[in-house]
Amino acid sequence: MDLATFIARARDRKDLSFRVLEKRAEDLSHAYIWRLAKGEHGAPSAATVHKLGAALELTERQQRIFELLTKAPIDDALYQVMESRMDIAWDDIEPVATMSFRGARPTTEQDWVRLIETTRDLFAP
Amino acid sequence: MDENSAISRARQLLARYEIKISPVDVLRIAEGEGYVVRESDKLGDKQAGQTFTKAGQRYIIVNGNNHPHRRRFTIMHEVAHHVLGLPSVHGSDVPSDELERFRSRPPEEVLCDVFAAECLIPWQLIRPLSDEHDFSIDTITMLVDRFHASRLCVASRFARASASRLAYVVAEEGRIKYSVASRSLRDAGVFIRTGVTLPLRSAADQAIRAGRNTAIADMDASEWSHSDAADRFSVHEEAIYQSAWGQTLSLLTFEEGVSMPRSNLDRNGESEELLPELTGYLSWDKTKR
Repeated sequence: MDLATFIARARDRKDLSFRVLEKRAEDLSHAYIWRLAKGEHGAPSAATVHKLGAALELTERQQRIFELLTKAPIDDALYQVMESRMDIAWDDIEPVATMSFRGARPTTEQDWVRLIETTRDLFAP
Repeated sequence: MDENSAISRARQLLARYEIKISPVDVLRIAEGEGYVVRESDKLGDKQAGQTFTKAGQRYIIVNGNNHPHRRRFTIMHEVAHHVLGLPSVHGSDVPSDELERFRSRPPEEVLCDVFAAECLIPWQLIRPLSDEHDFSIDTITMLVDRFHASRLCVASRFARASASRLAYVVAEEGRIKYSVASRSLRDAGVFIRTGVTLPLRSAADQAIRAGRNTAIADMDASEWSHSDAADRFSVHEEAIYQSAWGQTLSLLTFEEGVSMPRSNLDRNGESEELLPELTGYLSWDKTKR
């Protein structure tokens, strides 16, 4: 999952035009939002992400995903875990989302969940 | 960024932490760079380690099932990514013998390995030792214990640091994969090619054929190098054979002006009768013809 795809899906979900987004996102121009959605713009600032997230009516979890996507794409299988496994706390998901691997990387949802649990265990009292 | 820059940054790091003794305290360096290091025995064989941030704190997780020397290398490799500002671009897996095997790796990872090797075996510590000791299996074994680093790492650093004419050669399945020559050997114009087969009857070749862990041999340097300058040298070789990987490690010491007895076998393995040394006198009595 990348930033452009995420924004496109969020727009489709709420059936929001760029003009409507522009109105909702205060001082963000529809041209800027359009370029961002097309992947033709660099990483937006935290303030822009917040405004755009509110305009797209993102849930709290989706807003966290949105923030991560401004830094780097997310593996599709991990994205599915983020979207579907609300029983897993975001604080346990975020470390594996930003993890760099010296070795095998998870490729399935099952692998990612296992890694999340293994990483969480490292911090168990 | 090139290798020299990576080495320079490693030396700056060692100076900042006032590293003057071995083994280098890698945990102190990692912690000083803002990492918490933990071991996990739940990482698979194909994982050497991971880095991530949790609640603003950076962590390095190393595979607790790996050899302690490998864990130290992993820690310094991950610190290298941070210090050098290079992204992690490992392949799909890093098998546990990665550091001992030779396969194509991304340049970012190679630079981080160079940085890690420089940190684990600092130039200022290995340089005097390379003057004091022969390039031998015993020496490498002793230095592995002293630096808590792998044999490959120690031997290649020793060869680079030495003022003598040395080379360290790694071969897999009888074919040379990697070689490190000392500066003085390179200055002498002797180079060892990779991708070619080991010299017949070299110690490494003998160890493979006999299935022995170690072997020693002396031969002409021209058997190891096609450089013209090699004709002036002989080579003393001590080799280690690691049958599990089909790998040989050869420690070569070159000596100038020492002529080695020619082999009784030619390169095809066939017997070759040697002519007696010329003395300037006829070997038969011409008055009796």
